[in-house]
Order: sequence, then structure tokens, then C-alpha cells
Amino acid sequence: MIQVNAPVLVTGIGVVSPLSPDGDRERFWSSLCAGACAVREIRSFDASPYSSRVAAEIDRSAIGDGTDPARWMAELAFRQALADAGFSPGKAAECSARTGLVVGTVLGGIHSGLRHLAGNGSEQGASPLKGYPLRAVADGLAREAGIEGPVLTVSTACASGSDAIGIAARWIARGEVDAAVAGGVDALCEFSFSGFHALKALTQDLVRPFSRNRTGLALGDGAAFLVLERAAFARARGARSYGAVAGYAALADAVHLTAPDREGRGLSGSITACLRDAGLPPDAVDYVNAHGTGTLYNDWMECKAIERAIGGRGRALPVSSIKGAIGHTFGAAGAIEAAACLLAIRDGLLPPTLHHDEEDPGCDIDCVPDKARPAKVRAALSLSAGFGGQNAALLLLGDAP
Amino acid sequence: MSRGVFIRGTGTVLLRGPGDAERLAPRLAEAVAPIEIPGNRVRMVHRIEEVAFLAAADALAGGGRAFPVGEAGTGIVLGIDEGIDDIKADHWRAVLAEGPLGASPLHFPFTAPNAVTAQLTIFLDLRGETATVCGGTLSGAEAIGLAAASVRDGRCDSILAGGATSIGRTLARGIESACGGQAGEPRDGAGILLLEAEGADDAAAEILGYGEGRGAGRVAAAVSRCLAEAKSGPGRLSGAVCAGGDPREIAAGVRDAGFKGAFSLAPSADMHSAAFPMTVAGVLREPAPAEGAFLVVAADRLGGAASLLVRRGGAT
Repeated sequence: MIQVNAPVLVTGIGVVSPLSPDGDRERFWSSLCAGACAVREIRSFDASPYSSRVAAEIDRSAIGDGTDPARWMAELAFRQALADAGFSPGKAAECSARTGLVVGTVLGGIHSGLRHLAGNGSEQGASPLKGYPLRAVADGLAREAGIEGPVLTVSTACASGSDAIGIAARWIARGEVDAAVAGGVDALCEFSFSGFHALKALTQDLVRPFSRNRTGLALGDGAAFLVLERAAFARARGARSYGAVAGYAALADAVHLTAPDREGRGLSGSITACLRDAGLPPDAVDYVNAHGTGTLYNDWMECKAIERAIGGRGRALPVSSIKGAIGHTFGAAGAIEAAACLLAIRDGLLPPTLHHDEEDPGCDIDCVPDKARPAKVRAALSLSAGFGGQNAALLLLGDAP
Repeated sequence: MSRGVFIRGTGTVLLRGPGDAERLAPRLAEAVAPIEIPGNRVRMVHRIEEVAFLAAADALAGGGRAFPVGEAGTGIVLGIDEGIDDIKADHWRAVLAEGPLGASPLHFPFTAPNAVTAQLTIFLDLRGETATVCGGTLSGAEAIGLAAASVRDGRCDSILAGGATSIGRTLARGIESACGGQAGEPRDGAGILLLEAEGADDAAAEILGYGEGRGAGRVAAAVSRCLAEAKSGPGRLSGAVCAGGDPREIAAGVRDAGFKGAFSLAPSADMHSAAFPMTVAGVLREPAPAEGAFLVVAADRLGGAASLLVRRGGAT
């Protein structure tokens, strides 16, 4: 076990996903490593007019009528993360003014807005819109937990969850807060499904990251939050830690609104800056949890970015994507994947890339196909890339003994 | 590493009626003329992009920076409020009306809140740190706070920061109404600052501190945090400006934090996420006392407050 110099520890994790609809991170992790796949026929709306009809959904019967599913998932993951960190229920930290919150989301309470628009859409019928603004999720969580430090909603497409964690880690590293809860949430809805369908980005059956026969992504429900703490603060209260957020960077491609830079320059720049932030050389990275959407261009771009930034290690560096199991959860994806990295570090187990049927010469990586693999992991890199050429890299590091 | 953070350029655009929008077109055509995007062209689909682009271009020009910038070191953090939600409404209404065929692959990407920021990175070739924050009325302030921290910590040397809004049609106005505000007249605007690291002796101003607060005493908390970052006391302040929220609450809050000087209300205080950066830029354009620093303070209807401490002039 290496010594951790980074001042930001992760002391709590909550993950709501189709593999763990109750927010139980251990259920999420064991199902993920067992190779469970949650991508199936959509039930939450009528997808029959679409050529693709699959997604990774949470059973909506658990969510009450009129309750916004994003709000529901966020609250559950948030509470589980706080409980895991040992904070009192309903109280983020006993030092509320020194505790912050960052929520990453692309859609926020979109279901509330869709209900409004499906009606007459008038200002008079505006009350459902209270839960609609992107910041509504963060405001609700902050009120529930009594958080009086900075509260931020970040919306950086599919990198939102990673950016939320990175920004919160910077707050702590700068001394602005002692603790912060950070993560992301987004709920599947026809609004986003119809858009990705129009972009021809959706698979019709399975998500096959890095496989030559990959046919696109599947959208999914998800929320995840991490409790981050200044190391001295966590240790003073006797908290145990999953590891540290040791580095973060988020650079733009500046190339195209929907397509990634073909050479992965923005993502490779983010990896390099992230490693510099962590004070680690490229060869310190033991595992990469890729964005790995299962679309043609993302997966090619990502392999080039990893090669460009970490270079020369080829198949000696395991790189897996969990989107074959839980789909693409948008604003939650980066947070769920950061949680997976921390659990991989804890258990010495790499989550598999599902449905890897054919080698793709453009993805010449060890993608940990189909079965979880034991491996000692000290430093894990979690990558995100999204619309607008938005990239993010997080470096998660094993905690000191 | 802790460096000084300087405001090198400012850009503001405010449209309050059809005449203003018509006057925008020639400025826009002139501004996009130097931009060449291989295999593509500058295409803006919504007014919020246009005002944000012009404000960013003005901020770069004010700082003596040509664009396309083309350096990894220049980034952007933009605050977006509900101003993009009419784009979402258009997408969804088309799907409701026509099913899958109503969804346009050209229109849908603009429903992503970071699309405006992304368009600016592409048009201006900004390859540095980038983020979009969505804190409603306060998001312009939050963007400046994040960007200033990135410069101060040495993560970037130069960064655009500010906010843009477009309060136009049903959905955005409905949200305003639902959240307890007055929908008011349709309006579009953007305010963007160019922030750079120390060494900028010809800068317009220096950002000394930024702070946020929530709950009871939120304004006083935001001001106190801001002064703490600046390692300053309220006695050094030459004035305080309200950039949004209830002026009486904000006046009381800054006085609770120890400030006894002149307090004023910015004319752009109803410009949502653009209000805060527009206020900073507006104060810097006014003739004012040569000494002392001023506070810009805003609060929203949902329990948050933000404060920025700015000193006129460059490095001393």
C-alpha cells in the first residue's frame, strides 16, 4: 500500500443503479463484477415507435406517482453515501457551514418539465416546474442535510458526475470546506431517448464497448454520491476511507458539438493534467475505467487518448467500461464510475467490459472482457467525455493503511 | 500555489426588445468573420449563443487577445440558468407532435446545458479548463468563483468567466413564475470577464476574494468568506453593489458583515445568470474613487448568496 499525500479522502459511497435500486453499493459492486447486465426492453415509456427499444432502467413502481425519478434516485444515493460515511441521518456534517455539495446533472428534474409541457404549458399551470430547474436537485439535498457551505450544480454533459467530484475535491484542497458531498444523477426519459435516437447513437440490443461489432449506447437511470473529506478532518473523527481523490482535470476539445476529437486530444490533455495534479507519472496508473459508451467514435477516440497520454503500455494496462452492464447514465456516469474505481482499489478486482465479442484493431487495449479480474490497484483513472467536447479525468488513489 | 487574479477584459450584451436584437446582427457578422472552422461553419441556433459569443469576443478583445485563441491554456466557465429551456421545450413539443420524427439531430444537442459553452470553445478555439454551472440567478457568480480559483491555483493562466441568459417564452417564464419571481419582459443578455494570472499590470481590476453562503445569514456569510479569502476587512471597501435579489436583504447582510459605506443597486439586476458579471463590468466602466475595493453581492430566491471583492487597477 502506498502512502497518500492527497488531502482529500472518500469516506462514503452511495450508488443507485439498475443493479442497485436500493442504493446499496455492495449490491451494485457484486452484481457488476458478477457480469450482470441491466440493459433490457424499456418499460417506463412507450418505446414502440422507435427502432431502438432498450435501456437500463430502475423499476419505476418503487417511485411514487408525481415524484420526480431523478430527485428520488438522488436522495437515495445521497442518504446512502452519508450513512456510509457515518454522518447522522438527515445531517450532512456536524459542521454544516464547512460542508459543500456539488451535483452533476444533464437533465435535472426533466420529468417535471415534460409534464408541464404535455399540459397547456401556461405560466398559470407552472407549479410542477418548481422541481424542474437543474439546480432543484442540489437545493433539495442541501436543505435536507442542512448544508450551508457552497452548493453547486454542474452540467457538463456526460462528464457532469466526474466534474462534480473534481470540483468538490478542489474546494477541500483549497481549504474552502472540510467536507463535501459530490456526485451526479439523471433519469431515463423519452426526451433524451428521442434525441439520441435521432442522432442514431442508440444500440438496438446490447452495449458492446470496444468490440468491433459495437452498435451504440443504451441510456440508463442512475445516481451516485461520494462523501469527500479533508484527510485531517476525516481522521480526527475516526472515519475509514476508500481512498483519495488525488487528481482532476477537465479540458475542452473545441472541435465539434457532438463528435469527439478524432485523435482524443482533449481527453489526453485532461489525463496529462490530472496526473500532473496528482503528482504521479503515467506509469503509476494501474487501471483505467473508461467512458466506453460503445459508440464507434467514442471508443476509438478514447483508446487514442489513453495511448497518447499514458503511452507505450498497450495491453499491459487494463481498461474497462461498465456501460455494457448499466448503460449510459449521463450526469451520474462519472460518479458511478469513480465509485467503481474506489471499490476496485478496495477489493483488488477489476469490473469487466461486457459483450466484448470481437477485437477491434482501433481499440488495441486489454478491456477486461466479460469476467471480473483480480488485480492489485493502487491508482485508478476514471475518464469521462461528453457532448460539446467536454472531457474529464479523475485519479483515485488507494488510501494509506 | 496562490496567484493574483486580474480582470483583463469585459464584455456585456443586453437585449430588451426587437430593436436591440436587430442591432445585434451586424455586430455578430463582423465578430464571426475571422473564424474558420475546418469542414464546418459558425452556426448559432439560439439568441443565448449570440449574446454569449459577443460578450466573450468583447472580453477577449478588451484584454488584447485575438481569437480564435488556439491555446490549451485558455478556458471558460459559463453560468447558464433556465434561459436554455425554451430550446428544450421546442424539442419536446416536436416529439409530442410527430413522435420520433419530430426529434431533430441538429436541434437536440442544443438542449444540453453545456452547449452554449461548447459553442464558444469551438468558435473561439478555447482548449483549456471548461465547465458549465447551472445555479439559476447565481450561476454567473459561481462561474467567476470557479474560474478565479483555477487561475489562483495555477491550473490555467487565462480563462473566460461569466453568465448568459435568455428569458423569452413559455417554459422559462413559467419557471420564473413557479419559483416566486416576476416573469417580466422577455430579455437576453450575457456578461463575460477575461481573467488572467498575476503580472497583468495593465488590468482593469483584481479579484481579491469570492464567497458563498446559504441559509439564515447567507449574505453576511458570503461577504465574510469573500473578505476572508482576500485577507481583508470591511473597512477597506469603497462601495457595495447589489447584482440581484432583494436589495434590502442584501444591504442588511453586508452591514451585518461590517460594511458601512455606500450601497447601490445595479441596473442589470434582473438579468439572471448574466446579472453578476454584467454588474462587475458595469462598475468597472463607471468613474469611481481611485482607492479601495468594492463588493458585488447577489442572493437568489432559493437560499443562496454570493459575493465578489474587486479592486480597480492592475498589479501593484
